[in-house]
Amino acid sequence: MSTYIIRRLLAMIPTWLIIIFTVIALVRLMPGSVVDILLQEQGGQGQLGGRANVERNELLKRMGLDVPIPIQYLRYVGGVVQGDFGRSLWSQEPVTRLIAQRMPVTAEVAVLAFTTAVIIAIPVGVLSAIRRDQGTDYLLRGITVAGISVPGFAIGTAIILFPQLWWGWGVSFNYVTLTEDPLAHLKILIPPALVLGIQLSASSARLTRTMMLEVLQQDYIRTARAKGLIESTVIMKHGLKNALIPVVTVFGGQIEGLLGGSVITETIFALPGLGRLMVNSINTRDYPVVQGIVVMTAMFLMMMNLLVDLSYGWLDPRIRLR
Amino acid sequence: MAIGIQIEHDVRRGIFSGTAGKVLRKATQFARRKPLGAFGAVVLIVLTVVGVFADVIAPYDPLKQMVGPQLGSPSTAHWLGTDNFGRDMFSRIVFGARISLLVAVGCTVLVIIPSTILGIACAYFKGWFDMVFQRVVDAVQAVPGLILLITIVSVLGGGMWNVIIALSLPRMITSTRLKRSAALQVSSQDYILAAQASGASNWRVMMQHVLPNIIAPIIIVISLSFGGYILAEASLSFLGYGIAPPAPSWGNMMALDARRFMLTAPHMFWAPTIALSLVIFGMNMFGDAVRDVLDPRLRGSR
Repeated sequence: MSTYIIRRLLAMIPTWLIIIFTVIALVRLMPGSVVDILLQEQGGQGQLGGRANVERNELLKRMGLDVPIPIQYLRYVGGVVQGDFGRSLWSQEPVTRLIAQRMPVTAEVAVLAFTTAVIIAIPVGVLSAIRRDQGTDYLLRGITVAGISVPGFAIGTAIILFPQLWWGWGVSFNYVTLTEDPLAHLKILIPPALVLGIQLSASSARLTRTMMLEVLQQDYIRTARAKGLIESTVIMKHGLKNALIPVVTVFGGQIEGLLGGSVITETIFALPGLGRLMVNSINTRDYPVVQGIVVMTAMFLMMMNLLVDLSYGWLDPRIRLR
Repeated sequence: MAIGIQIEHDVRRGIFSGTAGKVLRKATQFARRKPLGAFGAVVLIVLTVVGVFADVIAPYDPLKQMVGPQLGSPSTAHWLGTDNFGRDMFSRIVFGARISLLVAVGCTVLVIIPSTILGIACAYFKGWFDMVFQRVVDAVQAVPGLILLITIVSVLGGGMWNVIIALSLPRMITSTRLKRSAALQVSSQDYILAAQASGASNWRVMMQHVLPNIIAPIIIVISLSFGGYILAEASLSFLGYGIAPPAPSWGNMMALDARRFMLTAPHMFWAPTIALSLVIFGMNMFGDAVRDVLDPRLRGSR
């Protein structure tokens, strides 16, 4: 087991070096240099002659942008290994601190969305499977398919639109932190969590149904019924437990979608999370922040994938990880 | 069942003769077994027809302002109403279909050819090339899709063709994995050894012997990916990184103005939302049905 984990962790290193290189190259290929934007903000003439040019070189040097990209890459990797992701080119704040400030919002929404999804998806999937090809099944399948098809930004806009139209109750856009007012804080996070949760539950409910159907055909289910167990025990203890393994994978795979989707929900609901930070940093060409977010989310995702794989072995002793 | 047998009978009698009859029979069978898939196919056909003949179908120029009242509700002159610039919403939806169609087709073409060749090459040659390339695939898969897309679009700049390229680049790399695993199974077969032994070149073995045997999963992936491309373009355009206004992309039509006027002119929001959801629903159902028909083992893998 531990050799498996160590091997997986070692295999992450090249992947992670490729990610850093790609993102450094991509960010620098973006048109419009941050130096010019900065100089213009300060009233300088940007790339125009003489004095401005000296200032420009000065600025480039201070930001560490005057050396070739491969050197910048090595310096960056060296920093990251020591936990130093650089500083924002605009606010001079360390990238790690910026991310740490925004991370809780995104994480809270993700956890709430996950909870919503589990609460909806598993009962819906199980019910759909036991009522296979009956009215309930068709209805539930119809709803889940619709949930997959309606884009998140449409659901989000609808969640803002309908309560306002019907009850004159608007979603609040003024972010309040948890410590300031826990209730108001939750009220702000629930709508975006619902948007992500609905989407997540749709795909997971479909998979729960498929897996449940497969498991219910197995011999051990027949054995359980034959020895006279009541149906609910058969379904919950013998059926659901075995159907959940692939569902765990799907939930694991959805973390990527939750992080990507946070860009959209945080834009719609004006939440100060990672997604918004990413969008703002791209717009202001804040290279270190963009790099930091991409590298950290990628590391996080790789770790989650490892955890998902490890959870197989725990859920199903038949699976041996080597 | 009865209709199927009847048709099969008719085919033998030669009423539906040749390929046309075969196609028709296949289509009827498909529609009966997979009603939702058939619905998806109809959506795909409608999208194609509307997209190709947008100029003929749209009653107004989608970009021309003040062809009707501002924020006008749906009427006989303007079936889906008008927007805040007095543009005809129906015409904009119709031209939006063209954009979605071009995005889906463009991305598919750009993705499928290089990823198939690369995937087969990885499986066929194995060794260091495969090792290195698989780490690149890992890297692309590890970055959240939308974040990567926004970064690439910021490099390339907006506009439809750039969005198509941006959507294709990551998929070009990640979708090699499926082709690689399919090709791996095939390339250990005896007929591949036989082809190599009889002196066929690597390229010939890959294209003439491996490729035809992995066509089924390739078709499945193509049909499952249409909806994803259309949704990704809409998401990017909604966020303001994709196809910029005034071009009538469904995604950007749902963005700023639609949300600003959503209480006074809700049709500005509903028209593109319903069009987009319907198309994505149709594509998903079509893709699922194609997968079920071509490879029952993969059922429910999504």
